[in-house]
Amino acid sequence: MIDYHYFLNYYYQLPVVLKWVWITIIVLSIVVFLLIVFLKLLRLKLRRNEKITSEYQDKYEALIVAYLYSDIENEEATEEQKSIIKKIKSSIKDDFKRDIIVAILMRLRNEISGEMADTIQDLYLETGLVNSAKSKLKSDEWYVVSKGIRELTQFHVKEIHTEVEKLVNHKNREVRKQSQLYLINLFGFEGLNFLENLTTPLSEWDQIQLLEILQRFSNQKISDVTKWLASSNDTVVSFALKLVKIYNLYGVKEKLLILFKNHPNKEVKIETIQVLSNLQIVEAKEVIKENFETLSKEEQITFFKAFEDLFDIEDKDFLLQNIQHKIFDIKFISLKILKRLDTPLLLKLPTASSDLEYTKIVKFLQTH
Amino acid sequence: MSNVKKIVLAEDNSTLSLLLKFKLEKEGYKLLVAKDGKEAIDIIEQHNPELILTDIMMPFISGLEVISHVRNKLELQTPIVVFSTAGQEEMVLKAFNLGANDFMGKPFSPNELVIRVKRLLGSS
Repeated sequence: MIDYHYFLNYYYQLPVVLKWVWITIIVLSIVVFLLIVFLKLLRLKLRRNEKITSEYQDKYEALIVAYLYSDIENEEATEEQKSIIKKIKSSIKDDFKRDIIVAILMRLRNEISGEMADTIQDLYLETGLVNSAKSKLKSDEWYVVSKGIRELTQFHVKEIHTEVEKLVNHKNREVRKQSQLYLINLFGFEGLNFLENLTTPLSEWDQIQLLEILQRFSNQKISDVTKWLASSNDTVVSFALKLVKIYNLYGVKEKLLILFKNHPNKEVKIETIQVLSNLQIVEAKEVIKENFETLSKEEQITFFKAFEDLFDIEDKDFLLQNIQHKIFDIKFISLKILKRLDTPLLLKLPTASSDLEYTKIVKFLQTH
Repeated sequence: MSNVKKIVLAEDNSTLSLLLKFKLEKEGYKLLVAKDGKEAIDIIEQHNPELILTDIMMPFISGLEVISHVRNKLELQTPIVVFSTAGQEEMVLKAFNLGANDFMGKPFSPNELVIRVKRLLGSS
């Protein structure tokens, strides 16, 4: 038999530090033991949930597939289909089962097209699953709202668009993104009208996603972008500039020049210069040249790089003014363009200068 | 000996597998379903099917590895149809280079799949 007095006596004789070490060891051992028990229970619970999910999944998969093949050619629902709808309707009262059913339908909707995709859509509407997705829009939790919008997008539920449109300026970024994707996926270029009311930033990534969806539509008739170019939201202007560039909207030339002259944001100005160059608007070159001295360093470099191919012999004086510019890029591009436009002139340029960079560039261009 | 043609379907979306199984069995084929590439290879080796339908992206072993295994290791000329989603164009090209015969981009119509299967198996 273990005499615990022996352990107690041993403990009392120990120095304070060692006593604390023992206490720490015992406390940590208890914590580790409790954690092991907790993890074991958690794993058991997760496995049980996984098993239940898998069972329900098999059950509802079989029901859904039976529905889809019940009588696809008949417009009226068959008795079998009606009975399946009834079963699903009673199951969706339970959130857990509802989520499983929606997940199955969403996965199928992503992978199937044609008549069967329409039947999946009908099943979604017939069973009333659409109503719970609609009710999610009113939730206080951002992830519930986001999930609801994603579901409505997936099943092309258009009639809820006014409610979704109100969420484009939601405080949560994910909700904003989902509502914007809903509008574009379901309404194409018309869906872009939300940009008029957008006060929150539209990130580069969001913009790329929206552009990617827009490119999928067969009807590429774009709405009027002028109001978005005049937006007080700089990210909306940036997005509108991308639309101008991708869809070659020459009609907004005047608006672009106004934007270049008046917009206070340097990034927007740089993007405008690039778009003007992409559209090969030669008049823009004169306007930018007139305002060249007032531009920032980045804007000046962008102008030279973007318009490199659009300079002609008429611009010789302007280029000569910039061959000894303090910015290396401008100096180099000016001299490079001069070589292209008037090689004898470049060969005659003096190589001796206090600007060493200029001297090196000229010597290089004269010999290469 | 049975004349029913065997088709191996390798697809990790169980609902889609069930749906296609239902559809193709209705057309008179015997479907052997695998939920990943590893299972697909085992079934192919065991049953020597007349046609293989495989998704490109699957757990454990991808569709590309399945094609490579069939063409290079088993040295079988069984027709192979790959399923791909948007953005997997590079993978589809690799699949063709490895010896795939046809591809279908998701989402696809099960009716269209049946037509392609019939064409590849030489029956109307």
